[in-house]
Amino acid sequence: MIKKLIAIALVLGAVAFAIFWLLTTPQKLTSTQMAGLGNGNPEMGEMVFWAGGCGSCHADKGAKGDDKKRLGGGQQLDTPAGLFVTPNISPDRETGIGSWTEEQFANAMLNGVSPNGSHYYPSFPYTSYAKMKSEDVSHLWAYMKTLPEISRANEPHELSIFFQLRRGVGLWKTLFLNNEKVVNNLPDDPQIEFGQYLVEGVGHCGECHTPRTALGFGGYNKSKWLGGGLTPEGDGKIPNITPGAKEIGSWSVGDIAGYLKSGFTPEFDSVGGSMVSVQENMAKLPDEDLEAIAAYLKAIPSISD
Amino acid sequence: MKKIIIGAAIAALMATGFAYAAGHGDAINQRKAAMKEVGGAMGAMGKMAKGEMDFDAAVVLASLEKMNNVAKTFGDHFPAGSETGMDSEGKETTAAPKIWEDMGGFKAAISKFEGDTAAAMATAPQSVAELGPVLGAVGANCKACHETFRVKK
Repeated sequence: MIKKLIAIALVLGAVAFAIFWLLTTPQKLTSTQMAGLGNGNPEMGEMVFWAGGCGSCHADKGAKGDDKKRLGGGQQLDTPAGLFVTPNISPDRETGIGSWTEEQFANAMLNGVSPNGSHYYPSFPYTSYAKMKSEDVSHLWAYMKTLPEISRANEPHELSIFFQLRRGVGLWKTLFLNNEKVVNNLPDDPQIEFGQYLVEGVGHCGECHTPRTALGFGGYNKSKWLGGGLTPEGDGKIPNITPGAKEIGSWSVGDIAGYLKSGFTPEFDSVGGSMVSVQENMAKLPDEDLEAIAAYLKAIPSISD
Repeated sequence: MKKIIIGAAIAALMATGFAYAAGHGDAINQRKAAMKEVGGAMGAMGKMAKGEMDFDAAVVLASLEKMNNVAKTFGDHFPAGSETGMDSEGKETTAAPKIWEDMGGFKAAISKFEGDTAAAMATAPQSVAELGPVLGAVGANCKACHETFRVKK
């Protein structure tokens, strides 16, 4: 009898493990995604780079000007899941990503999978980047290869025991990783559509401006998309940027675009905190990109403060 | 008798406690008012730069002077104990704990603001074209300080 029970438990265990293994198998690029690679243009990639703001996390904290292009990593993000250390993504072959292929880079950006086939933690915002066109990933790759090689080996993440099993990130991904648009039923307008691409995709605005489910460990709370939330480090609030926001809700398209360009609100208060770095990246984009972002932000559902 | 003395002592302590709290409320009010004044001055010049208001060299100079005056005393509005609290309108302070952790850095940022506004006054811009770069140099101080020394809100 006991032998039988043990046998049943073993079989059930093996089945559960097989299901877990299948569900957590790292993704590969689709043939459509593959087709967009190989024609990267560094000049266009520079715009993708500023829209994505890679330097805000992968350059030194508070880096200004050209120092934002020095992507040696090493910034620490102290979160409830543990301490994340941003990696070196400069073209250095030993300590950076200089030895990667373009396909490996695209699989990291679009699927959150590393060259050795393991899952990245979603502190790397690939849930947003998954909505990018692979052509833009290709441009970005071409641009990033032109940046300074920084030789710098960083410490590994120090995560709490509950989050150390990387394979488990695969389960999180089956729930929260997809390349679908977040907001549907927007007015049919190419400007708004482009703004949506910038905000929901490469700009990854929702990563901070949208609260998360499951005590902050889940995905976006889509019913509060861009409705503001707590900082990942838990040291303050991130504002609501929907039309229902007390302050930003009253801004015009020109006000929002002007803020992203100059760093000043319509009342001439200035940008502050970690948004300073983001705004300085955005300021590098052409005015029409900033206006597209603003037009999208005016078109999304209102969340009240 | 003992009870009365203890009672009086408690009352005295409470009174100083209230005075203390009120004092810090004042510091919070003062620094918020000072920042509003800087925002107003920035607004006047910003509107000229954007072409929303006619250029007026006298207003520019007065605005820069207002900022410079604020910079001279701004560092005095952050006494120990005023790290948290509300202004008289019941709004929480947005001063970051970093100010008290790095008072030297904070004071240095304020003296840079004082120096930059003084330099701007010396150039006394006479046209919108001249105002642009001056405003850029002065305005960079707002962001630089708010990046580190103001909480996210």
